[in-house]
Amino acid sequence: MGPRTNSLPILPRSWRQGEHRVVLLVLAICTLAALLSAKAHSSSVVDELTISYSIGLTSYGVLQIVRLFFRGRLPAWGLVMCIPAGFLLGSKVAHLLGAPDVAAMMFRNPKAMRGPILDTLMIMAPITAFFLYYSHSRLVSDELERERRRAAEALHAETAARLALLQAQIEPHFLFNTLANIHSLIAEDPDKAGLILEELNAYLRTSLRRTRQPTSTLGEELELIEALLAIAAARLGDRLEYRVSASQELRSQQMPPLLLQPLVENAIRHGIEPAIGGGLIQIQVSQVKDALELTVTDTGVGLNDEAPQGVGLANIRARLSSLYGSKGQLALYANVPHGVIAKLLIPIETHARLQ
Amino acid sequence: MNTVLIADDEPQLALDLSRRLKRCWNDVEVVAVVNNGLQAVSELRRLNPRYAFLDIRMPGLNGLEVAAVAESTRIVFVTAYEEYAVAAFEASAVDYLVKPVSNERLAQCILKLQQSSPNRADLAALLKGLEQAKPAHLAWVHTGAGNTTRVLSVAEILYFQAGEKYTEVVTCEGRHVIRTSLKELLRRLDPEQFAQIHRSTIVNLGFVERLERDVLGRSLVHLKNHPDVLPVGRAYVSLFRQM
Repeated sequence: MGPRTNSLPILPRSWRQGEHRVVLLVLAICTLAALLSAKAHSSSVVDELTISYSIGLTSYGVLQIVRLFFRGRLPAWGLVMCIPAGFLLGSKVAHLLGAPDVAAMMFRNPKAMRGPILDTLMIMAPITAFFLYYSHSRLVSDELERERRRAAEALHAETAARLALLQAQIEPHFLFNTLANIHSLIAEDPDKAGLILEELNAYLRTSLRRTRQPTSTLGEELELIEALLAIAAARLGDRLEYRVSASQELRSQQMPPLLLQPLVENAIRHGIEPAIGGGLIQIQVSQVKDALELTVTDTGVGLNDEAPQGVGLANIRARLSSLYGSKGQLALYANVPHGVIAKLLIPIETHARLQ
Repeated sequence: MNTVLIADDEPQLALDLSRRLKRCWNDVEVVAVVNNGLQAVSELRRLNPRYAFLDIRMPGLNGLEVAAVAESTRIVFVTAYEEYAVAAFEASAVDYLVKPVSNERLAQCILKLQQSSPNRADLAALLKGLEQAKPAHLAWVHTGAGNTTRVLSVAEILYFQAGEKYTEVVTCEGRHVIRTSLKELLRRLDPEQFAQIHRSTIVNLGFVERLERDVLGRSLVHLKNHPDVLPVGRAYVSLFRQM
């Protein structure tokens, strides 16, 4: 513990985190085994202790090294393999320290050593069995509990997304701002007012249709987003420029609603709107192996410390994980010189599951 | 002459407001129509208009910030955000309009401006309240990898682990490295969301699945959807258990 062990990078991190208690336990068991063995065979206590500590600590060391390879999670067979290795190495170490070489004695005369080995096993087996049983039974009940909770959480995330979807239909600021713009244009520029009204119409129709279907297609999502961007561009004047590019064949791909749209809304609201000079929003869709890669790039103000923590992003992540596990991903990057790049990765082949 | 400045980041709405003011207010002169907070401040200083109609959400500076630098100009807030507007109205006792603004409501506002005495609103108090409402906690963590900068939302971070020189940031899909120390992070992270559980670990409480004690009495934190198991330092156990 302490700064000294910190300077030894070879040791696993667990050393710095209370592993010393395990070593103390090993030493206690070894002491017990050595004393019992010395009494039973009336042999030298010093020798027995040397052998016992050597084997115990070497086994522990081997175990730690093997654990490093498994990144801290040791399978049961790995544990079993460590025991003979620890025994052989440990008895050599004990021999170097002046105790009789038990491993060599065992190979030379297995019959004579049967008694002591059986004794050791009889002490060690119940202790090991207890530990294995204890951790295993915990694992099983924990696994059940976790599975139950995971299912509940997935259901919860889906319900929350549906609610958010319903709310998104009538997002009041968007609607009122749009209506205010149409209202302001009716007298002065009725043609433009008509165009925005058409976009609003398209937006509302698509989003209403979507609440009744569990899935939507990429094409439908892009339709909605294009309407959204057209309205935003009308509102923000020349401050917003946008481009949407996706091949025709990809547009028929199935795609769950409310994954792409919030990213675009964020780009408008937190990227372009706060930027004095405005900026460009680009949406690109491409196929990367078995996945759709959807990229929303903006040249807005970017995610500095002032930017609020996005609730929308948390919703997207919750939905991705409930729909696709670790196969659905969302990553944000800083755009150069400013702005945000949001990359959404959705597996293609599992879309049937959404039904 | 009633001089007026209009600031709104949606140019169409600013123009429309200007036209309607001229239509229903005889002796009005719209001296400036601007689309962001910085322009609004410089025009306010240059022209010192009697009234200013300010949108609240604007790039550069928001309407409340602009109002704070106005000296004798009386402010009307125009916004689609009622929650802002109500707070602004209460704190500053100036008028507020919610978009879309009807002609009737606009006429009412003009009447109010003509009748009321030119009391300065307590905008300093308003601004103070606004600053307190701002999110004070760290929301984004920037981490560099080659030429790209990855931006992590704190909500996706499972835990921070202090290393020798760097701090490791662990999310569901990977590990990243930042230079910020745990001490600095602790100061800036939301204590409702993050807690230190070990000398070298800060965990996101939202990802804690359960706290477990092993046979040796060590407390371990298991995470949701992630295999890592984090030990709880002895000094932190009691703190953590209360949560």
